[in-house]
Parts: sequence; C-alpha cells; structure tokens
Amino acid sequence: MHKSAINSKKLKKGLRGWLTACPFILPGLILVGLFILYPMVFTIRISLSEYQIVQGKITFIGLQNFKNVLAGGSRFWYAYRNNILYAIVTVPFIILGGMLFSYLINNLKHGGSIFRVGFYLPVITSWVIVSLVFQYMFNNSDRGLINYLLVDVFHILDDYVPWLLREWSGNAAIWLMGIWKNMGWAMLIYLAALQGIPADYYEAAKLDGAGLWKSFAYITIPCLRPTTFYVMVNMIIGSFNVFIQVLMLTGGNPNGKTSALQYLLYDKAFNKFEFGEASAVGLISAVSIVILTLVLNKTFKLDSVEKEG
Amino acid sequence: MKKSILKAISLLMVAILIMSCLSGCSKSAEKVAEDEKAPLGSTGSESSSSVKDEEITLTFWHTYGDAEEAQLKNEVLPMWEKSHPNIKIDAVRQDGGQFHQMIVTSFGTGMSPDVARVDIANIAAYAKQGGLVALSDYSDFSDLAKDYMDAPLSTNLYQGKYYGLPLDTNCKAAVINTNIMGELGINGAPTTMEEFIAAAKDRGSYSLNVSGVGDWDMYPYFWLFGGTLTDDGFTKATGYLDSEASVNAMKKIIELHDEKIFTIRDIDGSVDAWDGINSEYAMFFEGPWYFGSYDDCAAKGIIASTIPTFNGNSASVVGGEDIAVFATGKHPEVSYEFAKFMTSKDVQLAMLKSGQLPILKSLVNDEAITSNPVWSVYMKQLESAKARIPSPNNTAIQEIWSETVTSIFIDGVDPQSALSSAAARIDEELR
Amino acid sequence: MKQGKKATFYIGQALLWIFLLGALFVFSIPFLFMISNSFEEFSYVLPYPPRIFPSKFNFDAYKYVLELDLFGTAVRNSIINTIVTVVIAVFISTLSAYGFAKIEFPGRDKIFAIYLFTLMMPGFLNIIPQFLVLKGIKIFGGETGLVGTRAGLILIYVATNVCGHTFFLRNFFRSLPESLSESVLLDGGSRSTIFFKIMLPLSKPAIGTMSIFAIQGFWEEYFTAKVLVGANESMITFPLLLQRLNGQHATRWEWVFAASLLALIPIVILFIIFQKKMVVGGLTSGAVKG
Repeated sequence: MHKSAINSKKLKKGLRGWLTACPFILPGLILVGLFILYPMVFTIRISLSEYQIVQGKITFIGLQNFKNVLAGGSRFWYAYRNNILYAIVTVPFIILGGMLFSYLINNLKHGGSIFRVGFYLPVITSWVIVSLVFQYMFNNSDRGLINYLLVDVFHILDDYVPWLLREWSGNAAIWLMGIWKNMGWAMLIYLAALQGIPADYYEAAKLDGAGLWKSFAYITIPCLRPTTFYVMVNMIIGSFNVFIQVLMLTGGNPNGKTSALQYLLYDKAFNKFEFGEASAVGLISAVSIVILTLVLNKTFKLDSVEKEG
Repeated sequence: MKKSILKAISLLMVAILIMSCLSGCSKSAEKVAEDEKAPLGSTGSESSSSVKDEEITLTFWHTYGDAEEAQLKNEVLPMWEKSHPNIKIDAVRQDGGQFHQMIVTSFGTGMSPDVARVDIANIAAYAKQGGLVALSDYSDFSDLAKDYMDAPLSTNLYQGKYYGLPLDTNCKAAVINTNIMGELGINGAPTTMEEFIAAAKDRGSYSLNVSGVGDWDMYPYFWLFGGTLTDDGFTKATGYLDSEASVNAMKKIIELHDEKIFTIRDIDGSVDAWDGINSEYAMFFEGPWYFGSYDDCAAKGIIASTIPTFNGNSASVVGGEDIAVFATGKHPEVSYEFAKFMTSKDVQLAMLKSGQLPILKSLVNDEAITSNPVWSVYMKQLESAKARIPSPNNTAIQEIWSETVTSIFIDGVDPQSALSSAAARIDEELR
Repeated sequence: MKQGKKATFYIGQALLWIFLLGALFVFSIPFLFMISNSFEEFSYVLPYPPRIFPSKFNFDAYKYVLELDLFGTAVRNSIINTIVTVVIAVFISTLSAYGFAKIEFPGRDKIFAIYLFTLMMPGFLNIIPQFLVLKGIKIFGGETGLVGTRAGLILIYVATNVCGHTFFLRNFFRSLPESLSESVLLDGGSRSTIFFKIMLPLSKPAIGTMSIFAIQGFWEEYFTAKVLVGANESMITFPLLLQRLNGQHATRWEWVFAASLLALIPIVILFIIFQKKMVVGGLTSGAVKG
C-alpha cells in the first residue's frame, strides 16, 4: 500500500517531467530515432546477417560476419593498427600544438586575429580539397613539392621517396595531414578555455618571478585539464573516423598497409557488396571507441558529461 | 553518472541485439522483393506498341565527360525523341569517381536508374546481385548480338546470359614519343618488343612506363610476354596463372624493370606517364583518351601505334562501357529499346565524333575510323585485346592480382610462389 | 627600471611574433601551393619545378569555373541548403540541449548516453536505411517520398547533427546557474519563458560558435548530397560540382584548385567576422560563473 503510493507518486513526477521536457526534446528525439537509431539498429542487424541488397533480403547468420572479418586476412588488422597508431601519433601533437599556439597567441598584445585565422584555415578547408593538395605535395619523383625540396633544394635526401606508395611514408603523410588539419581546432578550443583561467593566477605567478614558460607549465596546462580531455576524446573519435585521407592519398596501398577501419568498411560495402562484414567492422570500431573513451575517463578521473560539475 | 552511462550503453546493446534478432527472424518489411518480374515481352515492336499512348520518362545514368555529353544532348537524344515522342530520356551525368558506389547504394534503396552506362568490369557483379535484366531473354537478342564485336559483347555475359549491350569500347595501345624513339635509333614506332628492348637496353634510364600494378595496367604486359590468367572458360587459374609461361612472363617484366628499361610509377615513384612522355619516356600504353586530351600531339611528335609484338604477338586489354537495364525499373521493355537505340549505327557514329569507339562490326572499316590516325590504331589493336576475367568477384580478383604484383616488386617475393598462391586464391573467387 | 621592463616586454612580443609568423608560414604552405597553382595552366600534368609562390597571375581557371553552366545553381543551392539546415538544426538542438540540461525526467541520462553512443558509430552505413525512411515519408505525395528533394536532404542533415549539437550545447546550458530560472518559475513564468527570455540570450555566443562549425560541415558535405539529390542537376551543390572537375581519366588541377579556393571564401569571411566571439560550451564555465 505504502510502497505503491510512493510508486504512483514517482510515476506522476516522472510523467510530469516528461510532459515538461517533451516540447524541448521531442523534435530532436523523433529525428534521431528515425534517421540515427533506426539505421543503427539496421546496421547491427545486417552485421548478424547476410544482406542481399537488391532484394532487400536479410538472412540471419549469427556471428559469421565477425568471424570473417577477424579471421579474414591481414587487412582488418592493418586497418585497426593504423587507427590506433593514428591516434597515438597525432593526438599528442594536436593537443600540445593547440595548447602552445593558443597560449602564445593569447599573450600577444597585437595581431592575435591574424594568427587565429591563419592557424584555423586548415580546419575550415574541406577534407577533399586538403587531400588533393597533400596528394600533390607528396607526389612521386621531382614533381612533388616535398621530394623537390628535400632532394633538389636542400639536398637532405639523395633520392626521391615514393611517399604515398610505401607503408610507413604513406602512413606518415596521413598523420601529418591529420595534425595539420586539426591543430587549429584544438587551438580555438584552448583559446576559449584560456579566457576562463582567472587572471590573478598569472599575476601571482608573475610576482613569484615566473616567466612565460613557467606560467605555461604550472598554471595553463593544469587549468586546461578538462579542455584537454574534451579535445582528446574528440580527436580519438576522429582517429577512428579517418577516411578521406586514406581514400585520396594512398587508397590503403600497398596491400592495405595504410588502410583504416572506415576505409575498409567503405571498400567492403560499396565496392564488394559485403554489407554484413562492413557492418561488423563498423560495430567493432564503435565499441573500440566506447571502450577507449571509458578508459580515458578513468585515467583522467573526469567525466565528459559532468566535467563542469 | 559514469556508472549509469556504462549501464545505459550495455542496456542499449542488449536491447538492440534483441531487436536485431527479432527483426532478423521476422520477414523483412523494408522492401518488397522484386524477384518475379513480369514475363518479358516477346518482341521489341510489341512492347513498344503497348506504350505508345502514355508518356514515359526513363532515367539514364552516365559518366560521359563534357564533349561526350554535348554529343549526347545535341545529336543523340533529339534522334531518339523524334522516333519516340512519348518517351523522354532524363540523362543524368554522374561523376566517374563515385559511380560504382552510387549504383550499389541505389540497389539498396531501390532507386536505381532505368538504364545506365556501366563499366564493363562491373556488369557481372551487378548481375549477380540481381540488379540487372537479362537482355538475352528477349527474343530478338540473338539476331542483335551478331552485329556486335565479340570482345565487347562478351563482357556482358554472366552465367550463360547477357545482362547488357556493348556501348563503347577501347583498349590500350602504345603512345610513342618519336623524338625519343629516334634517340634510341628507332624510326617511328617499333614493330617488335625485341627491337625496342635491344634499343633501350643501354640508355640507362627508363624508356617504358606503366602507372600501377592493377589489372588494367599490368595485364597487357603479362599477356604480351606470354602469360595467361585462366582457362578459356574462366573457371580456373591454377595451371594457367602459375604455369611456366606465366612465370616466365612475370620474370621478363622483372628483368626489364631490373635493367632500368621499364618502370612502374606506383612502385618506383617515377614520373607520371602523361608528363614523362614529353621528356623522358619513349613509350607507354594508354587508352584513346590520352589523344583526346591534347590537340598538339602531332606537333610534339607523339603518335599512337599498336603495341609492339613479342614473339610475334601483340596484346592489349579491353576497356569500355556497356549499357544495362536495371531490374527495379518500371519499363524494362522500353529501356531495352533505348539500349538498342544507343548501339545503333547512327548513334554509334554520332558518339564516335567525341571519341567513343563503336562496338559494331559494320563500323570497323568505316571511313570515319580508317581516316583517323588514332582511332584506326585502336580499332586495329582491339583485334589482339583480351577482356579481363568476367567474374562477379572481379573486385576481389583485382585485389589479389595487385597484391601479388606488389609483393613481387616491393617485397621481392619469388614470382613462382607468388603466382601459385595467387592462382589458388583466384580459384576460390571463380568457384 | 620601468624602462627596462618595457623593453623586455617589447622584445618578448617581437620574438613571439617572429616565432608565430614562422609557424604560420609552414602551416600555410599547402594554401600557398594551392593559390600559386591555380594560376598555372597544367594541361593535365604537374608543373616543374613545384611551386609555392605564384610565377604569374593568370585568372583563366577562375574564369572557367565562374563561367560553368551550373556554377550559379550550385552556389545558390549550397547557400540555401546550408542556411536552412543550420537554422533548423541549431533550433532543434538548442531545444533538446535545454531539455537535457535543465529539466529532470526519468531516463534522461540514459537517452543522453545513447545520443553519445551514436556519435561513435560510423555514419556510412546509415545511408541506405536513411534513404528508406525518406522514401517512406510521403507528405508531399509521390512514390519516392522525400528522396531527391531538398526537404529530404535538409532533414537528413539536421537529423545527423542533432546528437553532436545537443552534446555541445548541453554542456553550456549546464554551466548557467540554476538561480536564474528558479526566479522565473517562482514568478509563475513557464519553461518557454525561461528558454526564450533567459537561456537563448545567454547562450548566443555558444550557439553562434556551433553554427559556424555547422555551417562549415554542411557547406562541404558531399556524400549524402551525392546519393540523395545527385540524380538531379538542378539540385547540384558546390562540392558535387567540384567533383565533376575531377575528370574520369585526367584532372585539370588548376580548375580544381580555383574552385576549391572560391568555395573557401565565404567560410573564411564568416570566420574572420565571428572568430573573436567564439566560445565553447561548458568549457568556459569559469568565466560565466565568475
């Protein structure tokens, strides 16, 4: 009796909460349900099925697609490895570079805008365009800018490097592009966050005789921790979404050694009609990101949702 | 909060899993299968008479470039509209890079075009998915087929039926810089590969270039030097791809590469052929579009020639496009009518003006072709050009081939063992 | 003493400037490269030696792009699509974000966690089911529903961005003090009063920032537009037009670069105007609270 009273009270309160919230969340919820959640369920279903695309026939086959992906040769593992390497290599550069440049720009008396815009330009340029330029810069022989500079102008190397055609130089080009393209974004986020660090912290440090570098190391970096976490999570999710660079720069060559999960997924689905395996790759990628985020959350002792507390 | 996220995610996963299984068991509601098509009309004339009165629009997807599109819109479509006033053609130009992906997506969404110009390499794959109408089921097909050249027609074959009509054809022929050939001591185009190799041997820099290791790039060389891929029926690679002749062909390519006569751009990082032919390469193999892209070839001393023979035989690879009717279309008969129209003599001649080589036997010796120094070479070369393996798994076969050649040239794998394992893997795909 | 301090300050500033200018130069190489090559005439092959600085100012490529038949259509479509999408997407996301940030209802955090999870799922494979849903929406009649229509494209754009935007703005709303809305509620005001009178004005900078991120995303979107309206030339967008310049067999690079630079201009201008006002939701909480 007593219990049910509480329950009904709770129910009423819950209903009231929903009624209040509905006008606000419902439009978004409907759209997300139709165009994101339903497709997601569809993808998960396909990952457990054989999908005959023209007939729309879906036959349940259990975990066969996952088995095929995981045991089906080295391409998946190269792709997975490359996603992780991409994160390990690019994220620290993006974070440190973004932090450093934002801090320096913040300390400029005049002309900060020029640098803010300049460093942000790569971010607002489309991936496709940027890929074209990089493809062109890393071109073969003396036609590519990088080769030309390294061999013909500065004589650092003796011979031209076929950058985009080899496993490690191809990956390096993909990493470099990722760093170049994303550092400006990190910078912008940090610039905004820097406004939130109380000026008296720096004043105090100054009185203690700390210079630009000491202030940076002992005040800026610690104060930016929540921001760093935000940037890091975003960039790690981004690392698992590397796609256009691979498509346009290396095509995964040689033999899938510069591939990435998204590229593998795209190739399987849209070139080979293997939608089941493609969906399995997508799910593996998503679960990897979730696990990574949770692990990072733990190490940072922060919660992305609660960080502003 | 952290815990609740974890809990929520695991809950979500379970919910989704259950939903997936449930929906997997129940009959799919997304799309009504269109397995059973209405019985095909017996003759073309009958079907066209049945649609005389109503207004119909057919969607036609293509990847023509500017020149070809202009020709299509200004000459070809008016011809069609004249003879078929009730049937409008909505010609949609797609960009070449994503065309295959567009078609794959359209299969999933049921929004395929009625007719499309499709790369010859993809017909079998689309047919296997059930996306195309088997045109050989029409009663007039066998008569029609006699007019087409054999190699282009064969690219439409899948499991005994033809799923398209040849639309245009091409192949690789030799693009030659006569100035550099002159430096090597060859006047004009070399007639034999032996002659060319002897002349280029001591030059010390690459004289012959190929872009990549893919089938389109490498097959001509592999075939030229005596290699074979499969049996004639395309059922088996073991015994052919790994035969002594094939291994020797691959060894010949390696030898030329080692002697600095032959370079693979995507392996060596050498200058691209379109660029290097002006200054350093004596020869490369390319489709007719190279000559379509430049007006000043003759002035630069660059000419087209059939690929020099080796052991007395020339070789090349067939390219081009077919025109196919899609199974999801509402008007298969009319679409077939349009496909036939596109392969008719007048249309073929009109499209030839923009460089689309015809597929009709009757046009091989046509004045328009024989009088053109480039087209005549390509039509001649087509006689020794072979089609790639017509398999629905052609993407996978391509991948195996590229991997094999890459492993030979980059990792230095022994050609015999590389080709043997490739043959075994291709066998799997052909099964 | 004071003089000395001032001098150190200026030397420091000068060093900073030099360092940043050097970094900016290295950062800008790809752009310089793109600009100088857009003045070249390539005829399908690359110029030698490769250029960072222009050797001449030849605007033929720009002229070619500007005079393309579909140029006007593409630009108009891109502008309309982007503006309509951003307005709708931002409005719906702001509503959602407020709901998730300030209203308590059962299951709130779970639904929000699902929103977060969808951000981690690759979006490629969604295109086919999304297409099927659009096909099923037949408010305007026709057997293909919203497929091939601008409304359909915008609907997908909005839907695929709700989760991310909601996440971004929710953090910002949470950083706004509860006391503001409580006073309104005590005075008998409704939730919508709070939203429109207090929350919206306060969150203008955050909404603006997000809009700029969003505009950029929609402006360059290729894949969805290609699949959804690619069959209809009157619906062509700028990224689709750009892709056409990439030939089937060979590419005229100067056209591609010129078109790319033209596409960049509106976004750069937008950014230059608004850059100083950009903030990031939730991360500037210190400033807002202080």
